[in-house]
Amino acid sequence: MMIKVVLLAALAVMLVSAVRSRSPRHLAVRRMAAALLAVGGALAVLFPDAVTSVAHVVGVGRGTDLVLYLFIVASTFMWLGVNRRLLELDSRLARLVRSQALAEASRATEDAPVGTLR
Amino acid sequence: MGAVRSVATASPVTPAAQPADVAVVVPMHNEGSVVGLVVSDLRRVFDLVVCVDDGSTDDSADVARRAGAQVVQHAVNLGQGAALQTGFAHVLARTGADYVVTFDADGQHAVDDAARMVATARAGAYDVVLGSRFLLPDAEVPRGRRVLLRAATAVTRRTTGLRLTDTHNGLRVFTRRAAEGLDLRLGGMAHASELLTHVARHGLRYCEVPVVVTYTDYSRSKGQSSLNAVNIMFELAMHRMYAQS
Repeated sequence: MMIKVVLLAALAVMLVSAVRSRSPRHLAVRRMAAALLAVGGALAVLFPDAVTSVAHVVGVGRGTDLVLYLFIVASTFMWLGVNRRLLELDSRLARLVRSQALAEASRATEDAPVGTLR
Repeated sequence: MGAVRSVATASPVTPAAQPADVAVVVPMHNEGSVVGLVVSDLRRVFDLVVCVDDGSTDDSADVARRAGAQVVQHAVNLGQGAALQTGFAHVLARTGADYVVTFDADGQHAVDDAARMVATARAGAYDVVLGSRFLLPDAEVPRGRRVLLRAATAVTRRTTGLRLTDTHNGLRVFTRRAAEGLDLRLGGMAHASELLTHVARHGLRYCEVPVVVTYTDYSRSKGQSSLNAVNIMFELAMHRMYAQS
């Protein structure tokens, strides 16, 4: 069935994009995917029967099932993106907190130089 | 000068037997009830003790300061790896220390061991000296803890190729040069493996020294649950995935 190939390919792309670094090209791909999703969504709303025909073409019984599968794939992409973003944010936070902590500590040790601390 | 150490700690009257070229970094998070004792114990032997307060909500920072430590305070909790990295950065920027010791705040390490490890680093020209609780024949390690540590050690040995017996021991000695190269990014306990990955990748000269780890009810309650092994593995895997970015 074609849908299996499509879904497995999507999963593979997800894994690869999770590992690879964020680049402008990467961003462009994401934006195109989002645009495609919006247009596809609008078409699906306007022509619900078309979804079922497309589902039949890729080997899925009902249009609803196809929508569900694509939804799962899309939300997993989003989860990966958010997770990645959180990791980046974490490391930025660590750098920020560290530099603040070090600045504060150096102010404290200037008041009382090393060796005189008791 | 290494041989004098155990004598010095045996008689607490003798002040600061270690030369001033050693800095001890103690990461702490809500350890107010024990860290005072840990710091004053350390201060009998080491001149310079730097406590990194990792966003504690108790009085850890004040207690450590009163006991004679320099305190560097994270505004929010970042995890032990980040605290260690801050400690290294502080020592490198603000002191001329040639050796950096890392020492847990919960009182599970012995100051004698730290002093002995510094002596080993000095004498053997090692970049990194690591403490191991499993090198002592009659080491008393709780069973659950032993299983967890064995597993973590096996994995770390595989991934780093280092021949070690205890990869998650908080007592370590780094030369200034070795500390300068460190860039710990993993927040949780995975920093232990991250650290060893660094040692392996840069071909640092390392050795293990037997150390005592005292398990009190306190340190046990603060320590790793067995499920944390899963977290360590996961964080390491994520680190691998995002290492290139």
